[in-house]
Amino acid sequence: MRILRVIRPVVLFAGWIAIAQPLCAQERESVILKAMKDEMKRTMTDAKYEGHDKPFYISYGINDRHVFSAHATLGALVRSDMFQSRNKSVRLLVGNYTFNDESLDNNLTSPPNANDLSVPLDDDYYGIRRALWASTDVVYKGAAQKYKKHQLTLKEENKKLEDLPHREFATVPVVTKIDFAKPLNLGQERWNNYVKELSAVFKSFPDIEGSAAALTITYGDEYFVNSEGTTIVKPFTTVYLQCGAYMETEKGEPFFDNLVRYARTPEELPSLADMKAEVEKMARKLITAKDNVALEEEYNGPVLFLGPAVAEVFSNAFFSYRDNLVASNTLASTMDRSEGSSGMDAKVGKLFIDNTFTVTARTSLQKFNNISLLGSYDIDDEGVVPQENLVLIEKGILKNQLNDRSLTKTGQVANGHASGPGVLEISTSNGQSTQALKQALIDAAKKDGLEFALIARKISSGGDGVPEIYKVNLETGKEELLRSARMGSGGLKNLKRVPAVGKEKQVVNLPTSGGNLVSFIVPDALLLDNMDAAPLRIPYQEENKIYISSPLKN
Amino acid sequence: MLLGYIKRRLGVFLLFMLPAFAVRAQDSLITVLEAELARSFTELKKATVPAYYIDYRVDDVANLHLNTSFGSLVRAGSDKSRVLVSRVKVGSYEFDNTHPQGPDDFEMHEGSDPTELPYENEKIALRMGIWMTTQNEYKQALRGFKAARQARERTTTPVTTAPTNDFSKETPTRYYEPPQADLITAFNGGVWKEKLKKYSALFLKNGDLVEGDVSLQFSQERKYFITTEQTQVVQNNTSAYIHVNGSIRASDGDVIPLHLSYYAVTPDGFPADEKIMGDIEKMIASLEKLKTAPLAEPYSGPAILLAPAAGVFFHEIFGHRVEGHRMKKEYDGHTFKAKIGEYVLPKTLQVYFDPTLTAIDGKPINGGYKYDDEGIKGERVTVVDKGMLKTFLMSRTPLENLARSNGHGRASIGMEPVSRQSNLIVETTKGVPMEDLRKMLLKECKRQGKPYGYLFRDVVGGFTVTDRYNPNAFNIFPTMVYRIYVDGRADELVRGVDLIGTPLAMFAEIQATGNDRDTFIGFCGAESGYVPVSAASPSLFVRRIETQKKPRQHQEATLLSRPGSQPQP
Repeated sequence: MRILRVIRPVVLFAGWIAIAQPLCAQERESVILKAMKDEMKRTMTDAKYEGHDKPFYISYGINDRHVFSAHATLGALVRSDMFQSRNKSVRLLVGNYTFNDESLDNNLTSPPNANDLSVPLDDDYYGIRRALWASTDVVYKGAAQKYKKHQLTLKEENKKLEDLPHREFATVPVVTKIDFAKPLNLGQERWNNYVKELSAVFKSFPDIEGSAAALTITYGDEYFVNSEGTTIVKPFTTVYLQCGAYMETEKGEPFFDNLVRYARTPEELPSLADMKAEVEKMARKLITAKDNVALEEEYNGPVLFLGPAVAEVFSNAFFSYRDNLVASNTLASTMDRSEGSSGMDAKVGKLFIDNTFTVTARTSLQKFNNISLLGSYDIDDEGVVPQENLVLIEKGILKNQLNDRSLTKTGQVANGHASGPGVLEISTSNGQSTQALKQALIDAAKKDGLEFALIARKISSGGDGVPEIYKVNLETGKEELLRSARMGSGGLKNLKRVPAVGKEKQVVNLPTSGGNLVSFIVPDALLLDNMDAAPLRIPYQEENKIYISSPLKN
Repeated sequence: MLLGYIKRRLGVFLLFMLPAFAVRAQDSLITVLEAELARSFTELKKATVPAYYIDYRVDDVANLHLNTSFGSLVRAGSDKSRVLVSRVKVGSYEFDNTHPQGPDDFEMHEGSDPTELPYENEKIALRMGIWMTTQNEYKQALRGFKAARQARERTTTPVTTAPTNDFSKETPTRYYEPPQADLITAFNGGVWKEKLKKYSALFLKNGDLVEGDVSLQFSQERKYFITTEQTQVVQNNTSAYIHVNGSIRASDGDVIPLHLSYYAVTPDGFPADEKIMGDIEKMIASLEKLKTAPLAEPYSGPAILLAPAAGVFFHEIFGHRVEGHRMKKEYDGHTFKAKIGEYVLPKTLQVYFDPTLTAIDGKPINGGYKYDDEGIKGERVTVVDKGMLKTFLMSRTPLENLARSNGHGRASIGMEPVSRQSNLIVETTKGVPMEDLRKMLLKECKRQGKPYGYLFRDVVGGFTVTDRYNPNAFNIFPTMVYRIYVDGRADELVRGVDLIGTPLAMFAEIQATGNDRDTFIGFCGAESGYVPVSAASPSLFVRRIETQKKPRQHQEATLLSRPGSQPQP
């Protein structure tokens, strides 16, 4: 049973030493660690719930975060805040590694704690213990009751555990890593000014009706201890920059775009001058978007994906509800007709995608070609070190899934991916140049009898900005940006037969639905057949009649 | 309509004034608002359906909060924001886009969406925010006006009364307060963190307490209001609250809460540590008594409401039913609409609302203001004189025979104002000592054959419903309730009681009032958001009240003792 309060929109581990260390002076001095360990020890030793078993496993996590956020429009701050918060997570298991309170149930959350206690912001030893104590009490009672119920279920059904779909808790090595964040002198004024300057770019674009720039910098330390002896302190920093703009045509047709940048540290953001140039480029593209040609009817045929769109295709294919490289720990039920984890289990050892592809999890790799891999981590949320270079798909055949410590099938192992996919490298054996791929696209479109072909540079299936879909003239090769096209996200079926792939590799960091970033090391181009695109039809609210002239225009 | 936690107060404070040059620099916002208002009105007057009125209301707010629990600081932060809300009206004062459109017109019109303006005085950024808001408001007004006209054309019911205007005509006002110094930045957070930690650490002394929170909120606000009628009001407001929340687990698992609050204009006005800590000690002692108090069964019979509870009682059963704008809504119950000039309360009672008051009986109160959120000067309004209903609380939504506002158009930040309560004061010409109220209660208990009556000492708030589609009931949430026995036994503290009833029935049951007075200080929530209010009343003896069981919050005893409950070496 667990109670999770850690909020991790994007967690990156910056600059900490991946070397096992003995307990250092800092740990000895860490009030937070001492409080976590002392309360855990007390619970393991003294907690007794009448008529129920004692816990065999406890883990505590505390996320000590400082969050700076600034939001500006047209050169002026709308908000600029800095705050600290400390969130906790508690997991407690009753039973044993093979059969416990999480074994037969898909609901792993604890009942709400009517009078929960927040984690103090100060290094307040007893206050921290009280916060953990309040949650532990509720989680333990829920877990103990559930374990008893599971024991009764086995007895009543007169079945052996192995005859039922069940979840085991993996044993893993004990890890000790202590690395506190270095003091960060953020310099709020500098970043306030950065955001203000970016937002001021839109002053030169009177047709843009609404615009803003926003920056969020989160940093601090994550603490994790468990009753097996694992002790981890790791620093993190996340940086998220967003510049958005919106306008409408006179007929009320809306156009918007959103420029997003992630970085490991604030210093890794583009320079102000570079970023202003990017914002200006986006604004120019937006105000001319209404003049772009429209996709008039649905398209089915070959599409060449370039740049970030390649990673988007793989992300959509590998992390969908039905086919997911992250192993589901949902138990299959006789009443449940959905395939759950068993659907993917059945595909292991079989051809999964085109046999030219190999997919490797390189979760702890921090840089590729000197580019930061923002999804990288060295230890997952359960205190497990990710397996190095874990081959998930080899020459098209599914070999492994990414697992946390909850195992639902024999043969699964905890490979340190409780924090998500991290870093995925997609390799191919027969890459070609982008130019060759474009010619292959044109040839394929002609062969299909189409009047034009499509190139996608941004799909934006997650709603991050607008798609960038280009119409390609089959005779001249000329590309025109479409103003209203939506690319079908595709799926695994589109990767079964891949006509051609780019030979260069690129890094793309994408957010997942869970909020974590995943870093993709992918080919720079991907040609797929039988892809769908359709006109984007946004219902207009009303005619955008201007009754008062814009201040930017007078 | 929810009246929130009890707030008690203290302190009167002098606010720092800035030199004149700083005043001009800080108030470039008003210059931008004026210019944009004039520009917008000029252009919108030329439209096919012209605007006849525009207003801008900007709340420039800085907030600070500190939260502690059982001696630990658990939350701290501050923020500032600047929120614009605008009203654009098309048509005329007589008939405009807000005109009621029939019984199903719950909202009357679409209302405003607040806009967050930059808190920095960058002219073009401010102008763009104001422009977008004005444009959107005008478009909404056009839609509302069209719908109102269509509804009028559909109406077949003959009009039997003289039509009332949709918007009152008022004399323009000019009022300006210079800006204050930045009190939020100057706030001594270090000192107050330690104070609050010290206060909440008192809860550590009892291991059965499951909640022991003490928090402080301090807000500094500068409110701007300008209209095309040439009204311009710029006023300052600060408020500080300390909230104390404690809960104890009874032996049956029931979690019983108590609340305590202090209100002051700035934190300097809070009581001394000794007073607050003494009050918390008393609260803990009350919680310890509640832990073993019996659960009460539903009851109907005589009761005494002590002064703060009586204030909430009047706020809910009476105050919400004299908010004028409700009389214009066909879905409202109109409890008092046709009763002006009639006796609605005992002839010994007077009820008035007075936003000009800053204190009652020397105790600072929070329901006051100089000008309301429609730029109208707050007036003392006697609603009931010697038991007779005289008038209603009025915003700029007129009623038959009540064509003008009396300065009770109120709203929280970003909301559109409607008529709301301010400082409610109930007075009696025939107050009797508490001993006499008790004697009356016992006599009435005997007459009704009841072994005991109830005494409601304290409440945390309540709510009521005024529309005609739901029962017009009220519910008050008492925290300290005693049984007063006919057989002479000592008063008995009970738990799990809510006070319920219907308003008109309750008015007839008020039998006597005390010669005391106390004030409840809290927040009232309704369609225009939460606004600070107070309610002062003498204690009441009521011939018959009704109670129901309070919803229970259950928690098992903890397996291990709370860490650090006792002072550590």
